[in-house]
Amino acid sequence: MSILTATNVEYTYRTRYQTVHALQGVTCSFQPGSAYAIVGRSGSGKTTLLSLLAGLDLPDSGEIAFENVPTTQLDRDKYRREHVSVVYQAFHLFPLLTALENVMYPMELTGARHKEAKEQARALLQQVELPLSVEKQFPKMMSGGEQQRVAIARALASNAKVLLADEPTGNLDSENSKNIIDILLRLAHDEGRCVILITHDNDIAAQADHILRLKDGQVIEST
Amino acid sequence: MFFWKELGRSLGRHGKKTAIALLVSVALGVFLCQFAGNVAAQRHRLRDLSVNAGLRVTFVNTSGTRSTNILVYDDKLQALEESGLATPGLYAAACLFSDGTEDDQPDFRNPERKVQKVAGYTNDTPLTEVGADNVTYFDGFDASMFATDQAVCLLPQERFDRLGYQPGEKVHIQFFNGGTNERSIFPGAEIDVAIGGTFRDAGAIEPGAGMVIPYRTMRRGLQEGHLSVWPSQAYLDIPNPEDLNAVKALLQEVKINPVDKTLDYYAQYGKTASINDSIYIGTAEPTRRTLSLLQSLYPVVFAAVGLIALLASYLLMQSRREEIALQRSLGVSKGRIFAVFFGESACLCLLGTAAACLGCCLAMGTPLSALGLPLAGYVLSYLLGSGIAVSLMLRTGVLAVLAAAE
Ligand SMILES: Nc1ncnc2c1ncn2[C@@H]1O[C@H](COP(=O)(O)OP(=O)(O)O)[C@@H](O)[C@H]1O
Ligand SMILES: [Mg+2]
Repeated sequence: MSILTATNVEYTYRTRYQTVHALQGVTCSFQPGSAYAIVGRSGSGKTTLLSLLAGLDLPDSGEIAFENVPTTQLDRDKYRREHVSVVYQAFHLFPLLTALENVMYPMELTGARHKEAKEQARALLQQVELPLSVEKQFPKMMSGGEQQRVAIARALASNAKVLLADEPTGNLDSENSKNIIDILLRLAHDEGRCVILITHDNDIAAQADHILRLKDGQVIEST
Repeated sequence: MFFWKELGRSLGRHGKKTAIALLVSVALGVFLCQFAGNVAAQRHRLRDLSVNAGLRVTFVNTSGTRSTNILVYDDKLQALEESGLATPGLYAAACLFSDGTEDDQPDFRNPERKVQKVAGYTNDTPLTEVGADNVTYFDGFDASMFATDQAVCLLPQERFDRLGYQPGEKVHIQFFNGGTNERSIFPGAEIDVAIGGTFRDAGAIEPGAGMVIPYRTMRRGLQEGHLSVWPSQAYLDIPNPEDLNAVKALLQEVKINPVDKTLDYYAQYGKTASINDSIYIGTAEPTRRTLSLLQSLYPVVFAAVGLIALLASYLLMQSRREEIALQRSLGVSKGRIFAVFFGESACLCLLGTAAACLGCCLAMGTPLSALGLPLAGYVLSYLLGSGIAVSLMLRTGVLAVLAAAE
């Protein structure tokens, strides 16, 4: 059974200067325990699709449904807190929180005790293969690879079933890229999460279980 | 719990921004305290002026002095008294009476009538002006009798001794007074007056009086005979300076010209009064104008404070757009983000205000109580300003921010 589906999704950006039909009837579905790669040229609508999947906005028409409930009917703040996590190309850690505090944030937000959140955050940092010495560092002092791992650890903190990643390796060297992708794939295959990642890199896409190719806001290939 | 932790962390770790915001709020607070302190000082000044104004309507004669007959009709004094705007000060008047003793002398207008002069005072000032021991009150009598219309009197010591009266004894008298017809005198009421004391000298206003009675007793006695009292001297105090214009209007109504007593020109046949209001008007009016100007500026001040708070908060938050977008993407509700950021603003505002307030109270001696309401207004406009700023910030799209940073 699909955990997340998009049906005939259309989305248009309207600014004062132009109207961009970013998604034009996208239909796709995602299963838990699988890794998906969304590929396509820049401007093809990948990020837009991911944002709608993350519940950051609603489609103009069509629907996104999580466990068969349309996002229009969800408390989308709660949805983002509990069921879906996003990892960005630019990492987007809280600049004034340490690595550990960044990972603790989603847990404390949902009312976890400080001590438990701390223990769990440490375990998550370990899971993304970060040394303990990193936990007290602020994002500024970490390398890109370290920051992205912290971001992934934070994404895992809410124990979301769906993990979305928008070009998570775009700012990383090939060695770090490989590690990050390994971690993401493991999360899908070992922990049964649904991992959806956007990438430019064909090698990375090839490692995913399924590929979704977008062009001009439409799905032109789905495996 | 986490809310407070987050609030504290937000304040603590954005050290520079917190400091700037605090500085802004202290500066605004000082500005407002100064302003409110000024208003309070003006208000205080005005109150002092009112309390110490000592405004007085003094009736004057045609040459602007008060030592001879002022020719003001008693009914005009009564009109002023009844208005409640002015309280009677010293009135002094004389008329005639007869007590049937050898001291009654033929009147020059009508030698058939044998009379003497009786003085009426609203208080015993003219008697005590002569000397503190001029008057002796008998048991059960005192100076307060002059504020009433009781049938009481004081007699010259010499008459009292010579005629062998007893303290408190009642003397039967009849009032007389001249009418408009210069050649006759007319009878007023007949009453029994109790002797309440003696005096040695009737004073400068009505020298040679054979009896002194309360002014209002004289008024009553003459009115019963449809005669009028002719005061030789009168003034009334205006206890509340706010009533000054009403008193002037009333004077106009009863056809008395309030004048500067140096201007004889205006004085007409005893229809003249002078009011010692030049100092009060000279200082109170400008103060009142300044005060109302300052007070009318409050909305402008509050608007300015709100606007500055809005701008400052907006600019400071602009630098935290990414943080806000990130929180939104992690599922933090708009309400909660608003609460944290607004809470931060509120803390800074209150802290800054408290500091400014304390500083101003210590440095300038402005009483805290004078700052209460304006400060409440200030805090409100500040919070409104920063609240609007936070709301505006929350409207920016999450996507736009997070994607733009890529
Ligand atoms: N905030 C926005 N406002 C207006 N147009 C946008 C905005 N974000 C994206 N677009 C446009 O929508 C289209 C799809 O964008 P996006 O989903 O970011 O593509 P991708 O991630 O595949 O590069 C592009 O043409 C882009 O210019
Ligand atoms: Mg993109």
